[in-house]
Amino acid sequence: MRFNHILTPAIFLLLAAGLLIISYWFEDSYLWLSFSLVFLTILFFLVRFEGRTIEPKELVLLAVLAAIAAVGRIPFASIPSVQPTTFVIMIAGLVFGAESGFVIGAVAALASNMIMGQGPWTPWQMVSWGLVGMTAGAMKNTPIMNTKLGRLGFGIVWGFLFGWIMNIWGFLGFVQSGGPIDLKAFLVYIGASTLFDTMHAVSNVVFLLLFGDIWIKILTRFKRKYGLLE
Amino acid sequence: MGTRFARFHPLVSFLFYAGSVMLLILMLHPVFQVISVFLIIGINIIHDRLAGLRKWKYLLLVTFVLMVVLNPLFNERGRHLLFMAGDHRITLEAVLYGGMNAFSIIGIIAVFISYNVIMTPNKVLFLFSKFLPQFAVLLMLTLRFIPLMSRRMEEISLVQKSKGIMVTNGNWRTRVKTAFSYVQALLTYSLEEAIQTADSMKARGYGTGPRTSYEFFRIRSKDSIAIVILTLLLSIIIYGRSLGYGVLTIYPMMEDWRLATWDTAVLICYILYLSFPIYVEAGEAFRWHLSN
Repeated sequence: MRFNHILTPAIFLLLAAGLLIISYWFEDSYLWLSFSLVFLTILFFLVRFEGRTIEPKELVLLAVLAAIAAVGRIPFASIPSVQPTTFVIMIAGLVFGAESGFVIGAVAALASNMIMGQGPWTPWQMVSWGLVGMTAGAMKNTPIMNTKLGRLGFGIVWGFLFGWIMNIWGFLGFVQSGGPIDLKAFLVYIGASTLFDTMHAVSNVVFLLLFGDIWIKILTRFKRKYGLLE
Repeated sequence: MGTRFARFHPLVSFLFYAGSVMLLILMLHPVFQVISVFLIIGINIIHDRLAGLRKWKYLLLVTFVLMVVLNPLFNERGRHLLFMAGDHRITLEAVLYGGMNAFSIIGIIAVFISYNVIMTPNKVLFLFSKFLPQFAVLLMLTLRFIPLMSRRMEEISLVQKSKGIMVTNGNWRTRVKTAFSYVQALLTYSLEEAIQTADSMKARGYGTGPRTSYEFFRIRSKDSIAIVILTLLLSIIIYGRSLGYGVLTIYPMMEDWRLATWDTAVLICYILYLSFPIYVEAGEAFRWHLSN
């Protein structure tokens, strides 16, 4: 068990390093390699998740949170970038920790896309939302996540960061190197999505302002009441 | 019941789609890509009579046009000048490059449209449960909770309505507040119910033995044959690609677009691979005719 704890990250790190070396040789396949890296990241977390023995209670709790996050996307589907999903994943990660946060984010993305349609964007959304949950969980003991202002800042940063991560695959698909893969083109590309990213950030702030405290309270009460995912 | 391709083992379908996406990314050659677009449209016609493609046509068109137009705007590299726009060089290379990448991306999106028809969540879960059992349960529970929650939402709104609290009342501020107090009720309600679900799972012996699944897919001989054919074709194509066939080098110097002998060989394998769902269906239709 302890052996696995060191071995799995080591294997995945080696694989990731191998991918980077390959990308040095094959300069014209960034899109392909970035997809592999994203898959590797997801797989790493899934393997870790499989390695833990999880109580049914915890499993169902994770599913409820992921389902609420996924359901939240559907009524907002017509307004681009505005959805409570990021908010729900952030709060869930904050209360239940980094690893649960990643799993909730990834599952919410995968499950909601099973309803709204899968596409090449699915793995990227899984990683982006997974990272939202993970960072929120990792920073749960820092002053940032324990003050309202800090949480708002976190929501704004992720509103943009989420868009930028999603831009990477769009951008790589768009140029695939050989073409203009310079900073200028990338900045122009990112600039084009600023409006949507701002809407995402603003919606995060609105949800956090109105419902942040009460949701944290509800989830924390549950965690204590049933001794879940301590 | 559905198409013959849909009746294959999920592993076969999954292999086909994963391989197709890989090929569409790797084989950047105008001849290959034009053929692939026709084949994928053919697959979509068989699978859902273009219903999915029709729904996505604007996204596909806009993506295609944007990529073809934008690449030459940013990219002045290339020796074959088409025309000058102001003092900006529009080169054949840049246009071709944008076009090839555009074909690649819209091809991938079109493949995913057919994927959504064939790979039902049930099949995906079956595949997941073999490799990642715990994650498969989590995903299945989540998928099950989504419709359950919309039903609970209706219940909550009925109860609140009887107290005179409605989302349709008041200005937008109070409306948003009501809407979210609904969601809050849903959260607490679902969390409490979740504990019950978990207890009942435990009481029925969750995690005590190997899990069974509702629909069981067995690898039959036709599935093994399909896997062997697909893997073989894929390996040949990728081997050819690693030797530099089936790809049009544009920078630093554009090669001739015409196919060399080995390019043609790779192209034949490529066509055989991508048209797999088509000839599987054609074979079925042929057999039907024979039996009549």
